[in-house]
Amino acid sequence: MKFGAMLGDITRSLFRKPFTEKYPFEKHAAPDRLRGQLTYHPEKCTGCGLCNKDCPSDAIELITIDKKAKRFVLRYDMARCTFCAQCVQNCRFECLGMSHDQWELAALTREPFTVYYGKDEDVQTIVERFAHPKTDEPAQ
Amino acid sequence: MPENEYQLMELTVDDLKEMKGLVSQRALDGDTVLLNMGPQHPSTHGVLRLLLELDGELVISCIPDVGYLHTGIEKSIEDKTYTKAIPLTDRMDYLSPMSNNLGYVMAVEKLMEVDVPLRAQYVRVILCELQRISSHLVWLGTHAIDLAAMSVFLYCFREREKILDIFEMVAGQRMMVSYFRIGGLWRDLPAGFEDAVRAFLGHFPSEVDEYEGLLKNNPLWINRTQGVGVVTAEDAIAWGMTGPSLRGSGVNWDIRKAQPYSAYDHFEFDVPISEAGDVYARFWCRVQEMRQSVRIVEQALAKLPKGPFITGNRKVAPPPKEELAYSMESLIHHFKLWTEGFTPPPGEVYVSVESPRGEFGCYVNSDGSPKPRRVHFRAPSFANLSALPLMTKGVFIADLVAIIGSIDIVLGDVDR
Repeated sequence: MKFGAMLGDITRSLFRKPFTEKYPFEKHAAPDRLRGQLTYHPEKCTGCGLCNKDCPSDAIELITIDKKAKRFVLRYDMARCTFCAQCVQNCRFECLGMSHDQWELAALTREPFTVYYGKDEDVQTIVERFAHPKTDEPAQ
Repeated sequence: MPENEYQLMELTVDDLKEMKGLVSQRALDGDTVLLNMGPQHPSTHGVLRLLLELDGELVISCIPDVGYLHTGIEKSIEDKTYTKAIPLTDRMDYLSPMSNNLGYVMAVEKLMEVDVPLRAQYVRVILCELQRISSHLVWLGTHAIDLAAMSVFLYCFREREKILDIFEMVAGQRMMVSYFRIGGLWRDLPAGFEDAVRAFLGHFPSEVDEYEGLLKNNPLWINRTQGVGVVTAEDAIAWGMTGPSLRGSGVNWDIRKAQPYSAYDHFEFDVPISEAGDVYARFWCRVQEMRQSVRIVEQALAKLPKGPFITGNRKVAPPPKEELAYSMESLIHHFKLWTEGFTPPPGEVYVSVESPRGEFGCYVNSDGSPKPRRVHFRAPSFANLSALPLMTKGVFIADLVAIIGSIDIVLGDVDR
């Protein structure tokens, strides 16, 4: 290696923009295909439960409140999700998608990882049912 | 701190009985020192524990102890359908998920006797070769940092970022790609893929020259790598070493050439071989391989055929979504495929691919049900690691670090 071989590199590096991004202030633009947080659009869902059955890591639970009135709640456990997008691929009504801008999923506690999708009143019903199990169900 | 805190641990009689045959009689007599290296040691590239028997600075024997990263992936796959197992294969050798995916899906394709469209095969080759470059860059960076060459590490990771960005664009994830599906690919290539790869290939060869120049012209690097950790061709074959570690000992064995798979026989490339069998030879082979990978990717991009990206065989590939709106049969099949999965005929297959580390083999045993009875992965890191005691006989501790780096192990691959 020649003695002055570094000089060119040094001068170039002096006037070059840094390669790093100022992350919390400037966010990296994610590509469209990024498999981030799962999204769910209940309007088109028929409650077939394919997503539920096909999830390799049991991260999805589709809870049916009233099938005729199309009242469904999707309970999504982000901490279990492997972001493989198989549910997105098999949903025939395209209710499921993987968001490409929701990728900052870190949290300090476990609670934010459980996400309920659906109409507000339906979610409320389900959350209450989980909080007080078996109170609103008929006695066996 | 009181004085007795510094005392070395006394071995009990049971410990000694267990070690008989593993270490020499001198260690049992107390003439040599037994030292524990790892599992939390930066130079063991993961959670590898080595039990070293030392005479001063010299390593008398070295016993690798694996299992600290055991994930039970092979067992977990038995409880999943063939399609559901693909995300698990990413997580074994986390530096080359594309090769793992490829080995697994090719085994299932062979079991199901499915033909893969040429376009999918070419895309698989492109991505696997990019993966090889990225894996070798991590290896080069970490190997160099083990031997105190800090700058190379930073440069290598900068280049690797660009490859991971391409993967993110194609597969939606940077590392856990899960892009290959049984019979083809998850989706077709996105717009702008070819430009991104060409942009990368445009400047990468000169970068390799630079990194190689930083190391091979460095007298410190030469002294620490040449003549260290020599393994002869006979020993390398006997211990089952594969990949660049084997080719560094002068054995011309590359699965891509010897048993071409996934259209590798359509491309021209050389297999770099070095006769010396030392750490430098393995370094040289991997650096040359990066150049050959660039050649393969360039050819594959130029010849990339048009056509379907997944097989039309409905046994394994789901019907297109447009068809579900009017065809009842397709709808039923769609549901059956995603809930129950497909059922291969009973039998067993073994398929091997050339991963960046060596021969990655996948053995699938089917009993005719939708879930495999047994899946076994022949991990290249495991076989290469088993030759470590042979290579480290009588070397200095500092050289041991160089030798571990040179066989390029990934502990996720070793333990599975």
